[in-house]
Amino acid sequence: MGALNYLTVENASIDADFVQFCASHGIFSVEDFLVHDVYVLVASAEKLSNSDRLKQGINQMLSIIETWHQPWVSGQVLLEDREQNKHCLSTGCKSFDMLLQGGLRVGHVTEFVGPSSSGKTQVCFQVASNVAIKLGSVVFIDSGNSFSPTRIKQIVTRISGSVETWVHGILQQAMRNIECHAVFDVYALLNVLQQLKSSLESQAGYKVRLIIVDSVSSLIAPILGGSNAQGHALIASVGYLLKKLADRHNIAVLVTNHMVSGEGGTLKPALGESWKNIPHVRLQFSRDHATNIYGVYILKHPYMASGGSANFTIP
Amino acid sequence: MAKAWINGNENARQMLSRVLKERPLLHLPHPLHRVPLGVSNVLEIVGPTASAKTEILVQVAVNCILPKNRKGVEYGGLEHPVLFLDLDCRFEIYRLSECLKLKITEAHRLHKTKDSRKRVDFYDEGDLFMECMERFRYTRCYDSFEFLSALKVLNHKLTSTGVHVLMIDNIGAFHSIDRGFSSLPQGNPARKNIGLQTMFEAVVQEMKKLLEPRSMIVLATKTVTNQVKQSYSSRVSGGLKNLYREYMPLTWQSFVTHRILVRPLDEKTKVSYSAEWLLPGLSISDEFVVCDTGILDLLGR
Repeated sequence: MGALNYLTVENASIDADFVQFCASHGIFSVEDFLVHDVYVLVASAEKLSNSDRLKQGINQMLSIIETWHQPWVSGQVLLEDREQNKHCLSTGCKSFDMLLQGGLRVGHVTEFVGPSSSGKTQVCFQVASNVAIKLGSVVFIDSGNSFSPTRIKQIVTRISGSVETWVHGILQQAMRNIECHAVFDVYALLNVLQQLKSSLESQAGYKVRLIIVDSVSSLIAPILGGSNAQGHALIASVGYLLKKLADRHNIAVLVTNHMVSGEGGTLKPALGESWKNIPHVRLQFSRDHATNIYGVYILKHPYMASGGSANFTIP
Repeated sequence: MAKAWINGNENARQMLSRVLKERPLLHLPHPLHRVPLGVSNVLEIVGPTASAKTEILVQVAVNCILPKNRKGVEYGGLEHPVLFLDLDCRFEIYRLSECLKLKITEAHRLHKTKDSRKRVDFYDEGDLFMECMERFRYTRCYDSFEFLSALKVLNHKLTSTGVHVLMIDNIGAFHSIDRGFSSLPQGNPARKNIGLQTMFEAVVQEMKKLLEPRSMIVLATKTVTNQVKQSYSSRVSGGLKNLYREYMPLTWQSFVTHRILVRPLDEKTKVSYSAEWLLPGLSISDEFVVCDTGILDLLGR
């Protein structure tokens, strides 16, 4: 990321002598510099003849690492950013929006967890269609080939009314707004997210309102288990990448997590302990097969009490 | 000479006022207030996910940023700046601002009922709110390098005097990512092997430097997971302490001066929680609930 050699071009104080001085302490990159004690470096620079020059270099390094972390902001600035940029995206389903006080919040990672056929993917389609019609771009990352354009068409037609020709224009616009990526492993997911990040940063007019990963658990679950430490590192990497995209570019993120049978036959989320810590909001889905009524229940929310619930139907 | 040594150079009152001034105490919200925190203390709030850890930080933060009193109105705050390092990247400012507003209105209401005859001119609520919110500083980190650079820059830049309260919401956030680093080859024998160990040695070193010349209190949360396989001996002897898996490097563990364990009492409903001090070890468990106004004692409700 930050080899010292590359910094010599833009920073006058970081010259060949300084790079050599750092190398003698085993510092070759900015990361190496970060794990070193600055006082020790200053003390050892003072013993050398060109100490002033070296100390300038150390100061230059300190101002470089200042750009490495997010700036400190006051509570007031944070609150203003929240009020101006972190709105709620309506899901298009009334009881759902009521439960969540407006919908999916921009900047949050929302998780749907539930057994199979409990309505997770259907609600994803519903939200995607509603956002694509009314607000803008949706990135749909599909890991199970479950994305269905026919179903999206149905939902868009239902939301926008019945006039055929009028619907056609809306339909085309909505379909154009949904970008679908089929991914089948976690590395492909990271790749798609990284590319998305770089296009959001480099292309001026490019804007995304919603990212859906359906389902994140089917990508991560296979690499978990046993003494495999890599799996947990990948969970955290995916989680932080999603949070970064959500906060920086004002995007709402929606992920789904399926359920597997745990001890004693009770169902438990496929991504357990180490994933739990990642999403802002966790919603549990259930379905009453006799009446075909779906239920949603708040497991975790940053400012609402857990336990709230709502029912909905999928037309 | 010996007499001069015996003669005190200040009386108890002077000493008390000096000590209390230099070492202000910070209390966690009731009923977690059993152990007061002083300058240079490092408190670790341990608990599984969704056990009201961040909520405790929010309540302490509100208490810190509120003033003691303004124009005769008692707000009961400490007037200390708060530095909030969010490693979980899940902090919700709305929760803090709502609690702060509630506290301000409550203080005004109490003042009115106490002095109903006297016409009081209040400090404008909006202005006071803004003043408090300015005392709260926030940054988020997406990896350990960002965390380290934030600490390093803080060391370099933070010059203002007075007590600062540093909050770290979840110190173990990057644990699994950092653990993966240590297997990478470093290519040069002189180079430090970047991994969990080195990272935390550097973090603790930077934090020690932050604490030394300044008056600072550190509060850090740590999310723990259930012990995967409980050995027989730990089940017999350990009790609660070994219910959760300790994963932080020893460097961090020995840096912590105070530790409190919080956990939900009922896994399903998640309305009431229990808290127990592990360091210093008090074998009393307190129960509390979280509601809109903050943390309340379960018994006092």
